[in-house]
Formats: sequence, structure tokens, C-alpha cells
Amino acid sequence: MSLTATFKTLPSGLNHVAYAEVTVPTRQISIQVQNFDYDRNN
Amino acid sequence: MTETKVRSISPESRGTTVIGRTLCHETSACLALIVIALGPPPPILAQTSQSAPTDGALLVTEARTANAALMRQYSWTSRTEMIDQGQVKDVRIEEVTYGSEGQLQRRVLNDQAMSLPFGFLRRRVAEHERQKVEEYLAGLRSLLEDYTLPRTGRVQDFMNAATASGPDAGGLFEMSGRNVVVPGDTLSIWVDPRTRQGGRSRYRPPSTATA
Repeated sequence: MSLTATFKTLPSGLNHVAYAEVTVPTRQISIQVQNFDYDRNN
Repeated sequence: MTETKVRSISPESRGTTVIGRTLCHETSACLALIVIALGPPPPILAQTSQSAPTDGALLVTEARTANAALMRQYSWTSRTEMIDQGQVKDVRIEEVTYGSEGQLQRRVLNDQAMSLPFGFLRRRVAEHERQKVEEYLAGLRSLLEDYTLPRTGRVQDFMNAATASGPDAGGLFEMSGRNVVVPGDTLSIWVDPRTRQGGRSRYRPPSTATA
């Protein structure tokens, strides 16, 4: 199993996971997660 | 924007690892690893084969706390795609926000696998697939959390035991520690001392755990 994550920092200083992927080669399964459109609520 | 990459590898035996309940939770946890990579002052990184300072763990904890507080002011969109045997099994788009009590709230905006097919057998198969997706999502979040040293004690332990070496051909310094998540494992973090950014990390499982 492998895990890769890419982080980004917004101008406000917020660090967040922009992209993450977990792969399980033996089962040929992967999950990809993208986080975007960060909006400050106040 | 700053972009940092973290790469972790865990043993297949930990495939059932649970990954936190919410992506944001592990997101903030993941940031800890980045802070670990970016936080320690360059003079420490320039040393070779010496223990990291205990102050580093405090810096990590403080930075994580501040970032977690800032994160609660945001909402964002999360797109999750599961690929099984080369085929996209599920695409889930969610709006993620924080609740009044600080818990993550996810509202599904679009889920291709939401509607189950008619027919008992087909429906059971679909339900099984959906359950598998949920399990892997849970595993993903737990994995992230494990690898990003969510507890201050682990941060402290890592930094106390870590040794530093470098720079390598790319100018990066490496900090390595053992027994970080499970006995016998190794966690390595590479840091650019000039920018203190662009760090990456790799988690290696115990050799005995790899079949």
C-alpha cells in the first residue's frame, strides 16, 4: 500500500491537503481525493 | 501557493488501517507532518547524526493548533474517486464544512453510486461495492492520520530520536527516526533548509512486516 499527499498553502496561511491517493497494488484498488474551492466563511 | 508532497508507505498487513472519520481531520493531522518537515530550524537540520531538539515538537504542536483553528473558518469541495481493477467504481463530490461543535460535516453533492440498482442480486453486489468504498475511505483517513503523527507524544518521540544527515544531491536534508508508528518502522523526512519548504516524507514499514 502506498500513500501520496500533496499539500497547498493558501494566501491566508491555511495548509490543506489538495490531493491524496492511496493505492493497494495487490488488490488493484486506488482512492483519489481532491480538495478545492476553499472558501472562508467569515 | 506553496505545495508540499508527502509520501508514505505502509505494509499491506495494515491495509485495514482506519483513516480518521473525516478527511479534514486527517488533513490537519497531515499538516503536522508538513510542519515537522518545514518547522525545524535549519541549524538543526545541518547537523549530522544528532538528535533533533525537543523544541521542535512544541513548534509542530503550536503550528498544528493554529492551522486547525484556521481550517474551521473554511468550507471546501472534496472529490473522491475510487478505482477498482482499473475501473472507476465511485465518484463522490462533497461539500465539507465544520459544524458548530467543531465536527466535520459532509454533504454529498453528487455520488454516482448513490442509487442502487433493482434486483436482489444486483442490489446486494452494489451494496457490497459501496461498503468496500466506505471501508477504503475510512482506511485512507486513518492511514493519513497514522503517518502524520497526530499525537504530540509521537512528534516528541520522533524528534528526540531522529537523526539528521545531508544535504543530498538535491540540497535536501534528511531526518530519520524509527519506531514511529509501529515497532521497527522508519519515517524519513526531507527538508530544504533554504526555503524550509517543499519537504517530503516517506514511511517505511518494518521489514518483517512486508510479505
